[in-house]
Amino acid sequence: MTHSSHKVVGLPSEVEEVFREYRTCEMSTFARDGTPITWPTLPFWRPDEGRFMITTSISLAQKAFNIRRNPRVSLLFSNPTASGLHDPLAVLVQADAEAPDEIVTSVEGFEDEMRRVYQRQPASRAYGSNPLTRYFMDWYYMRLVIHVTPRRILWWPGGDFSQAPFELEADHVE
Amino acid sequence: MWNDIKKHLSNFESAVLTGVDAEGYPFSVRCRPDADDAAEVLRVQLPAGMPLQAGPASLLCHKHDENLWKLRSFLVRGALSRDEKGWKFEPLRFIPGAGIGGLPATVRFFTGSRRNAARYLKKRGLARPRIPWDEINAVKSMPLHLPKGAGELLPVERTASWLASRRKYLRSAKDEDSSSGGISGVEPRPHAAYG
Repeated sequence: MTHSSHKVVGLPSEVEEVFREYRTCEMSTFARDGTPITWPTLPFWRPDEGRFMITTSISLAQKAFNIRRNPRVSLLFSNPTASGLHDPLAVLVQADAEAPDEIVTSVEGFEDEMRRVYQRQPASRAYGSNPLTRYFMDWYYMRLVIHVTPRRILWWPGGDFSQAPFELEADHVE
Repeated sequence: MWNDIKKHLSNFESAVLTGVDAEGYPFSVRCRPDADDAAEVLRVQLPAGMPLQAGPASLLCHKHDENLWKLRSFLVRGALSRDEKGWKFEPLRFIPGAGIGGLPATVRFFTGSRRNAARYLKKRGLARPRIPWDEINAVKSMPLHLPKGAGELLPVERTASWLASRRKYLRSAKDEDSSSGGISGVEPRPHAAYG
């Protein structure tokens, strides 16, 4: 899929640092009945595209189904475990997402993200490392790609939700 | 369900509450819910100005270690509303996530995931795609320092190892007409499938 250059203007470096260093975010999509469903997710911020890339297995495709029905999503970065950041922000990204029904198995174009996963989650290197796990886990490598384009970004210094957040509308792009 | 929620909630310092804002987007905040046993609801303190609206909501608890492992998570679907005591979250459904339910849940996860993939492909008339293991292993082969314990076996590998041991033991018992010895149990391990 092609994507025109789309940079979020005025994004503070400390917010972008959270995007880069947090291991997980809490991603919310809408179930059919309108309930926001939230699960931890591995987010990959692509600053040159001004959007996040997230993938999910076709076996765990509910969030993709939800996005195809309602593209409004959010990503909350509120768990700094393993990020190495001291007193980091909590960041909420409200966004529009797209989840094409296209199964990706090649690593081409995702090498950096895969390498980062193996670095950050060394035990996952065992997936597919022998015939048994290849049989039981081939589904894990049948991926759907989800693109998440921020519309509004809010952040709370020190992760203190009792304070009013800072806010950036992400409609201004270049 | 209430007992499940209380039992597992006690293992987490905080939770992520997600509702809907006035523009129809999900809005999440981290909070510390308090159990109200009498009403079987969770009370949450939200600062003034928080744009959450009464209505459908969910509560997520999750954690991982420094190696993005030992994953634990669960989700509660419910409804958010206000009463004279403030905001309350009424649980409607408990959904266990990673690391909850032990070995049976892990086995169900793997077998269910294979079935889900087959169903996804069948619905679209697609053959099961070939996974380019060489490409994947090329990415993996980049030098990494494996932290202690990170290379432990996955549940399926442990299960295979256990089955192999069991077969070996049964053969040995049959050959030697011996009933001594035992097989140590297989400890479940959390899977690491975020997405």
